[in-house]
Amino acid sequence: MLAAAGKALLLGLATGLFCLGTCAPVLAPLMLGEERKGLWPLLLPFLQFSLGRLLAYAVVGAVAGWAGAGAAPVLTPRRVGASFLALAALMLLYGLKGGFPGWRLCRLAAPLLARLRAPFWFGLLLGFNACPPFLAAMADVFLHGHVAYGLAFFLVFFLVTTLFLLPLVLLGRLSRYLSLRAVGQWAAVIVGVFYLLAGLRLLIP
Amino acid sequence: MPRTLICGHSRSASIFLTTVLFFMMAFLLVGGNRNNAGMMQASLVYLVFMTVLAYLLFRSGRVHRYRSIFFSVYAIAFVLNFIPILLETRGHIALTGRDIANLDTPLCHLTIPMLILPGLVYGVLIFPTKLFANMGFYPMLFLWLGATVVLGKGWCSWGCFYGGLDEFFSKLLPKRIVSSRKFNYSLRWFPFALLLVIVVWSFLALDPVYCGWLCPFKAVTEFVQPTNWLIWVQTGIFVVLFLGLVVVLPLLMKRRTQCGLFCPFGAFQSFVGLANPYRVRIDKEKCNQCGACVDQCPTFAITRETLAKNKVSITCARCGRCMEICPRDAIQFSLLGVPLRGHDARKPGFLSEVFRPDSLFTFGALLFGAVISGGMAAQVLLRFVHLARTGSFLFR
Amino acid sequence: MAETQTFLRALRERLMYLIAVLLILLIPLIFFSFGSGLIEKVAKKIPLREGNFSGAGGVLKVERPAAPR
Ligand code: SF4
Ligand code: SF4
Repeated sequence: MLAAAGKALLLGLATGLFCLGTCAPVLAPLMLGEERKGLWPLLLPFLQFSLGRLLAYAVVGAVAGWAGAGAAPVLTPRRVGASFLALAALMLLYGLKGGFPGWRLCRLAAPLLARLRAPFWFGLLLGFNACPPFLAAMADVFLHGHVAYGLAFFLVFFLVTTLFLLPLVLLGRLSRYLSLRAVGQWAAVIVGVFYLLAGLRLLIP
Repeated sequence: MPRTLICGHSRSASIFLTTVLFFMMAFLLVGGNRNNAGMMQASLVYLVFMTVLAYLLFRSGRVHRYRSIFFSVYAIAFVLNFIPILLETRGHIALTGRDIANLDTPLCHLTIPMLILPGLVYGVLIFPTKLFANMGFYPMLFLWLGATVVLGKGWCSWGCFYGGLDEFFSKLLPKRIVSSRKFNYSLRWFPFALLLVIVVWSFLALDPVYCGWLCPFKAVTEFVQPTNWLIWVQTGIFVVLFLGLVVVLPLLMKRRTQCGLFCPFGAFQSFVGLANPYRVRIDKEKCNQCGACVDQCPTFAITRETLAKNKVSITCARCGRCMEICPRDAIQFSLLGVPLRGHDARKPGFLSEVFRPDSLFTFGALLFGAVISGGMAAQVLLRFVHLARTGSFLFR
Repeated sequence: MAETQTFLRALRERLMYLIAVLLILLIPLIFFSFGSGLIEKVAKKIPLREGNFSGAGGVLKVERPAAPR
């Protein structure tokens, strides 16, 4: 369990920073509405938003764990290795290019959701955001093949990413997050290299 | 390049600062070697060297130039001393399984961020070193804590025995070969990402992974004896990283690429160093955004974006370069909570010159640097004498 | 009002300079405590042990302590 928490922590840090960089500009107006004053009116939409994300993560974690349990017999080291390589490629591309053009799910959906003013749905959608570190988290849970593991993994993942979003919401300080985003991208590159080596080690006997 | 405006101290203030520093250094450098005549003489030589540097530094105000000489000498002395010590005490440089099992590996500060989490959770030291040995865990931890309070991130320009190596190579060539006009400054966040990864990974693997896989300084200190292909790969990585980041890139770019773009401890120190009250600040009244400092900062801490906000990044290593080349004297060492006055706008007078934030910072940093490097420098001096007399660099 | 503010500002500045001087005086203390046995005294109270390394083949490995589940 502890290992799961650590990996989730790392991935959460990597993706959390990135999500922030991409989504903060759209998130901020949603969160810091025009004349919201005081802590509670600030916190309420954030809580709704977080609930949405938590739900999405729990579903993803449980489903990935469950599917992994079913797929366990066919997961040969060779296939796991190959999927690691694919993940590595995704992570590297994402880290070095700073996201993909046309992969900006949250940016696409943002105007719509902003008009709806429904933080819960916004969180839910962002929770399903399929950026590579998130995929890596899914793959890890899948390969472990336990529902409980998946839930625990994504719980930590959720907590870590929330940690990054909270100060943003409370303080509304956007500028800082551009450098955090760069840290997140480089972390993705390093984790990508890690997956590359892990994949190669599985493929080369 | 426009005429530079560097703010040194008046002669009387320089003499005063240097004299006080001299006595404090003498007390610590020579006083510690009372029982060893050879070390005492060698320390005296080093003391004179540091005193001369300090006077030149205070008088001319060229913090970077004179610090750079000290810092390079320090790092080279470290390497020249470290390897012979290993040979004298262990008989070989490369680490063997036996040395590891005996906990005979000296610890360096780079491991500290990786040791904290496992230490807290499992109560165990995951690096094969002794708790109380000379270069063991607690002495190093204590030294680092002290340095963090006294120097903060300034450790990376005044205290770290590796930093001087890439500083040395970044100074060797007179002209830059690779310009950094198109440099991607987001690379300066890479050390933070690396820090994040190695801290989590070391905790999971209970193994200081950075030491095993990535540390460029293995190439000049010690490394695991290659007994299988995996260790050969690791050794290859060290050598490539060292040559690339510490030698070739600094030569070409005239920047400290290892410290600015790789070292995860530097990233760590950027955070914990905030405990120290000194900062490098840019005076927005004076700065005209010429960008000279962006081009020169050895650790890539000033970019066009940070400059526009009159800020330096938290990665600033307090090296003094920017203030030396700023044509408008807009950048200074400053104390938190004390407004920037500018060197020329200060009240004239002896006391106000001695009590300038930059004087106080450089004074402390010089003292710390001199003492921490003193033993090594003196020993290397003795080794050279020994070499001349007996033809051997080793004492035994 | 303005007077108290100037006073407080001057006080803060003095305080910072005092801290700066104390930091310099701290340096000899740091290096002295190395020989004094102070570090041992404090560190003995910290529950941290040395690792147990198999050392076989020169691989750094700690015997993993029982994970707190
Ligand atoms: S701080 Fe000095 S060197 Fe840097 S842009 Fe301003 S005037 Fe130029
Ligand atoms: S900002 Fe100035 S003092 Fe700081 S590292 Fe760069 S050149 Fe050195």
